[in-house]
Amino acid sequence: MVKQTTDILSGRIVEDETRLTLRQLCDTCAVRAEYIIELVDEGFIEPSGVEKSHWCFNGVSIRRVQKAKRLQHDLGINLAGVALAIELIDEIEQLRALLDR
Amino acid sequence: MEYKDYYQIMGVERDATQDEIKRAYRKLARKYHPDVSKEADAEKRFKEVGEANEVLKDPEKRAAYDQLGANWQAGQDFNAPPDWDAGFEFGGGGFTGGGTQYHSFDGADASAYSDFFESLFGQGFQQAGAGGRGGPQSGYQQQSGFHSAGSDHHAKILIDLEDAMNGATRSISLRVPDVDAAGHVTTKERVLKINIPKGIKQGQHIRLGGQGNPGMGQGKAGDLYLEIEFNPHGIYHVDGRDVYLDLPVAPWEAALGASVKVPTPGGLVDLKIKPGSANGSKMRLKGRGIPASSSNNSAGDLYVVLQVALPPASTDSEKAAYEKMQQSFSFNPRATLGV
Repeated sequence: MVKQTTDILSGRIVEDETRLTLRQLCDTCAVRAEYIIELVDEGFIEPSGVEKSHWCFNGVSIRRVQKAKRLQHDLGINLAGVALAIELIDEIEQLRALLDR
Repeated sequence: MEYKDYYQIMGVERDATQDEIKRAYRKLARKYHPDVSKEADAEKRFKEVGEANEVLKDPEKRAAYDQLGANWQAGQDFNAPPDWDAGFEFGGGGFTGGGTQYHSFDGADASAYSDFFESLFGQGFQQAGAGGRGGPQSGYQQQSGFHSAGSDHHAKILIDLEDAMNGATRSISLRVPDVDAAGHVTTKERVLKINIPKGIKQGQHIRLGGQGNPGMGQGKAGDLYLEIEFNPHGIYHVDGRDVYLDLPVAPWEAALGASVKVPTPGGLVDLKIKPGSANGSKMRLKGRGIPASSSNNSAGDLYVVLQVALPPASTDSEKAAYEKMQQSFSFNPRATLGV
């Protein structure tokens, strides 16, 4: 095993990202625009702006798209199923957080 | 290296049909998928199941694996017998697309397979790649003219509330696969120093562009995502950027009002308790929670929840004080119960 040390890295908080274009969201998540459009049609991620060319996404969309992509790929569920699963998972997480209190 | 009992991992009999294996895999994949499962070793289990499926779903590989015999125990020290795979050929479709079962999650595909798997199927797989029979998925060889972007890498990082209050620097070490010119995969340890931005919340992610897995050819590297988790705190409870503190008060402080010292994540403050405060009542100290992380959000608040503590009556004078109270109050704590 080789050890390698680097300088201090500063990243960005994904969830704080605002005003991502469709193109930037595609690049970040390594998916095609058609996939994003399907997720928007599913009501799973919600851009601001009416026209596709003016769509603006926030950082939460990045996480949602990545999760959808993984679940779809790994478990073989369709988009509607993925959306349902993730919404239920989010709900369970909120309930767990309440229990911890 | 350790022998892996793929049938045991999948929870099926050695004579299970391909359909039974497929069903078992689907069930386990749902159970242990790292996006779904909260179990601590979910990712490890998910990889194990993926590896077992990789072998058992493929009749050629399954036959080769079965040939090792049924007498091995999981965890037993194992070395592949010489020429063990004579008569089997893992080329063509055998492994192509392999690893994709958990490819999308981990990204560190090569290291995702156990040494046991690599010793049995790794070699044949690499030869197949060199022979040009496998697709671009089939390996980590530096195939000329093939470029592919590196995948994203995901890791979790534990921080304290104080780190989110003030910002901090953390060192993390990641195990990443490294491919040499001959196509051999080794695991390399990378130590990264990361700035934890002030104002980050539990469950948020830090993205470090280009710090994920390296790309192939001229493909660019993937990103590194760090999920933030807070260590449980001794006195505070955190919800988003809001912080909760249970503050014990004496009955007379709650009844008569008082000024008490209260710890906050930002330091001690003097807090005025209003006369007649009830047990469980909440006081909000605006902006004294976790600070804002950007101009688009605002600082959290600190909620102080009063917990009236009952003083024990041990001495005679303490008992007398309680008796005095009994005489002075016409107080029925069970009035709501109708008794």
